[in-house]
Amino acid sequence: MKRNGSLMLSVLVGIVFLCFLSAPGARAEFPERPITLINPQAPGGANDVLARPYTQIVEKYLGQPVVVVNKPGASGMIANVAGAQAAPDGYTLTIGSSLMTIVMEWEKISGKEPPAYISDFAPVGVLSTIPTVLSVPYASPWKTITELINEVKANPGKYTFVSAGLRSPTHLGAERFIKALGLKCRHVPYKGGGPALQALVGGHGDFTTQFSLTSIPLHRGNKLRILAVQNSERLKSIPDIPTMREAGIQNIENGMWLGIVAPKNTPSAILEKLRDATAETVKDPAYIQAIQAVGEEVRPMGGSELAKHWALESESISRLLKELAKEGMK
Amino acid sequence: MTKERFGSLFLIALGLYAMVHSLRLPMGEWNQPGPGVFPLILSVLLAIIGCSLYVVSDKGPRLNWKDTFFRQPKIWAIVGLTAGFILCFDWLGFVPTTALYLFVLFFRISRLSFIYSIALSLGITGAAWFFFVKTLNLHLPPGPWRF
Amino acid sequence: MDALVSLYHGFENALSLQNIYLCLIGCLWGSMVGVLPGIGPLAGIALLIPITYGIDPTGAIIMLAGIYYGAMYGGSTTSILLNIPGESASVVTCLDGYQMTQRGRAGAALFIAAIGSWIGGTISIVGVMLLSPVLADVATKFGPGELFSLLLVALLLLSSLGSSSFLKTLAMISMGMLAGTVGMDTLTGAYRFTHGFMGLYDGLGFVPVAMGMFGIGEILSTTEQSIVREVYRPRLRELLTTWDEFRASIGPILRGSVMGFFIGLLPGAAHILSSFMSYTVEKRLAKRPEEFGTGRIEGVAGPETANNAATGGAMIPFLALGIPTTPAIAVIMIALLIHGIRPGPLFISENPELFWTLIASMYIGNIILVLLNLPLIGLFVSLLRVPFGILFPIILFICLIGTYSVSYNTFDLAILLGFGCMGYVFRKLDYELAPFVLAFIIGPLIEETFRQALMGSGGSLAVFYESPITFTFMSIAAVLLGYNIFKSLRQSRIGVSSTGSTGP
Repeated sequence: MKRNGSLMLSVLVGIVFLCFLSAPGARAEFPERPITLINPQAPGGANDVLARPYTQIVEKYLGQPVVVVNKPGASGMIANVAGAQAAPDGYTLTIGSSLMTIVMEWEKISGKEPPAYISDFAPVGVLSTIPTVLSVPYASPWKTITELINEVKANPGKYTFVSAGLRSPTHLGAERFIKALGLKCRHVPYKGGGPALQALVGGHGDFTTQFSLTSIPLHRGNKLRILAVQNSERLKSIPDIPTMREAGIQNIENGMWLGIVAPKNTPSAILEKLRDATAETVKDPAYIQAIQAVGEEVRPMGGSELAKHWALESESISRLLKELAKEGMK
Repeated sequence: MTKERFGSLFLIALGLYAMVHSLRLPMGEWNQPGPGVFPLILSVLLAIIGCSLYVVSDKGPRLNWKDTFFRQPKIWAIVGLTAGFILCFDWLGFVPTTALYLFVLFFRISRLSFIYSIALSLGITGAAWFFFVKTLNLHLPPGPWRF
Repeated sequence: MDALVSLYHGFENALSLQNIYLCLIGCLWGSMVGVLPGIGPLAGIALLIPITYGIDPTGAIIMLAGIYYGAMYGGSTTSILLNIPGESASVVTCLDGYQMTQRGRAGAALFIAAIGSWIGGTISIVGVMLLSPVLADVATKFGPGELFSLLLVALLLLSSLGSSSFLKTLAMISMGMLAGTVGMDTLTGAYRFTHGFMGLYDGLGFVPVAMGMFGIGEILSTTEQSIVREVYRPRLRELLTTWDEFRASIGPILRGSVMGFFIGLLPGAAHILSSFMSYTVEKRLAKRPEEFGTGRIEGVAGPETANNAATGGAMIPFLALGIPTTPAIAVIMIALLIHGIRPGPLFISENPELFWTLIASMYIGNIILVLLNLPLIGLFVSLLRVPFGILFPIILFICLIGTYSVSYNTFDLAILLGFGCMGYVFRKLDYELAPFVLAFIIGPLIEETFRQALMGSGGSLAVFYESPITFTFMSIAAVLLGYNIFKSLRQSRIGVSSTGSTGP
């Protein structure tokens, strides 16, 4: 990290020098050069679906382009560290999400000091949140969530659920459901949402909680059946499917938010500017149209709202992970 | 020592290391094999193979230590230069590191003339910059001079 | 004959000036990223997504699919010429392709690879066109148990791959599989062999390992021999395959097409599995299997056909169900989502025009690719005339940048160099590298599917023989195992003394 420090120092010296050259006296308005957005996924990852329209439209409100830099690896930890340690000048932002919360909370629970933690970031705003939905194979005899619950309750340990990976939001969604009802099921993780859904469609698992985005087309095509939505209200695209709350299970809403975060010591004037621009962007009709075309509903949050949501989320995820760790998850 | 024997000792050493490491991992139960099971099986297998190779390999060509590993200035130079490239890549940036790396390889290892080496390394660096950064749009480290 | 009418309309659309142009761009770009080691179809597609924003969705998918199958054409070039696999699927091509180059038949190898790719690609599109919905359901039948039984067959075939001693091949396989276990265990989250390095959490990447062992290792051992490598000047006549070579390739090409297409349906490492299965099948069928690995054209024709045929198979779960089973297809799907098209089971019936235009464009694209690649053979072969002293720094540099571009992490470069040194040492000790790299890819899949199957069945072993699919593959595995044991017993009776002197 020493090398990084000296690099940063030299960059800073360079910037200070440039500032003297370009604007003697008056201080220029904040974004006077392109802003870097660190994406913890490889190019072509799912983040691009939301981040691409954002970077295109936010330029209009910021007056400077936003350039995405991909830093995949170590479940996003490499990007998180880079984002947290970046100069807090507003020129390096990071894509934050529920995945970030999970990784950081897990580091804490497994006894390690996380190299970057939630408190190292200042939230800018949420681009969208995607809920998970509980589904079963189309050939499954269960038509409602109650039938599923009764059957699984009667046969503890008999049924399996598949997920897109250990500690992924799709895994935690199912665990929330199971823990709330005191069920016993076996978990079979797959590498990613595609393989997990393929396994479910083929009947190699009994149920799964996957993102609405990927499940709804398969539901419409009669390849699987969505039984309940893990969201506070019904989804516009599948209005006939009840929420978990309607089915009588409280507080197991689950999903993933995707948003923008800045390093923690970013000056408030700069942070406000970024927050305003982001809020304007997600309200922009072009952005809403781009997201709806994907089948996504825009449920943006502002910076302070995200801060509150993030605190709540990290608490509930931490509680769930602690419970799972007690059961022997490594 | 024969060549084969050296190889078998390497396999045994690797097998033992992996065995020690995998024994520390959870083994799980019958219906849920843990993360340690596969590495343990493989490392035991590796050690067994190493031992059997050791036994059958008393004949055959002998390993010439010095000529294979130590009297290889070119190989050591290439490995060292590449390590240097890796260390400087993030710090100096893509363009200067590449130009320097290629120049030293051309001039010292391939023994091209000074002018030719400079021209070639600069030309290739320029072409690579145009291709990787401008055309393919890869995010290569810009270095302190931002290019 | 609804299909023919639809296909006719598809061709009408695909043959519009804009769509041909986009198809050409996609194929060109695909061949290019395929030729460059490290930068594969995944990055190639991801990098072009921004360019598709201004185009209509049909044009976008034509172009992106063109990159995907185009990359498979180019992947063999560096394997044949330089012994560096451009894609994971081309590891097997190194075995005989590079030997052909050393015998002065580089042109013939590239020629048959291009022709085989074309035939394999075209046959697999026929399969996609006619069988998509049916085969998509078949593909979902492959759960962990079924995949494990198939991979077990692959593993047993792998043990007979090497041409040096059986024990040494087995050692390389175990080492490769061990290297595959590095990183976070996907099923329990335990860190294995990471020693606290964050760069190892996701495991060793294929690109640093394969390019290190093949690319860097090859350069180190060639440098040692002499910096002035023999300059080889092929004549035009030598660029083409002889009639005998061509006749020998027909069988492998046809078998490779069918096999590749069906293996392509499976999730996981479809491309590499298809090329490798084709190679071992050809080796088993050959009259003189011991000649494989010394530059047999069948060893290039079969695998190169198979991995192109697999592109068609791999697109079926995506087109018919909307489920991407390979990373590159997942990126195409993301691109379609960005364009507002949601793939799913209703994709073909809701967007028949898009589907049939895509099919038509794939026929056209394959013709474009073969027309593009054949004239390039001469150019590629003439690369061999570049003095080694100039060529090797460039190869080293491309390996470094190619590796860096996978995850933008210098730690991967250190892994590349480390495996390069390992590759050099193994070459010195006459160990073969291909079994290591193949086991490195197949090993984690075997472990994962085995454990997933047991987790799903609650510990019951019935999951490995219950269904007809698993039963068939398990029987094949048993026969192969019996045959291997019988063969090695017979060999050991003949004499152990040969172990020391085998290997080139």
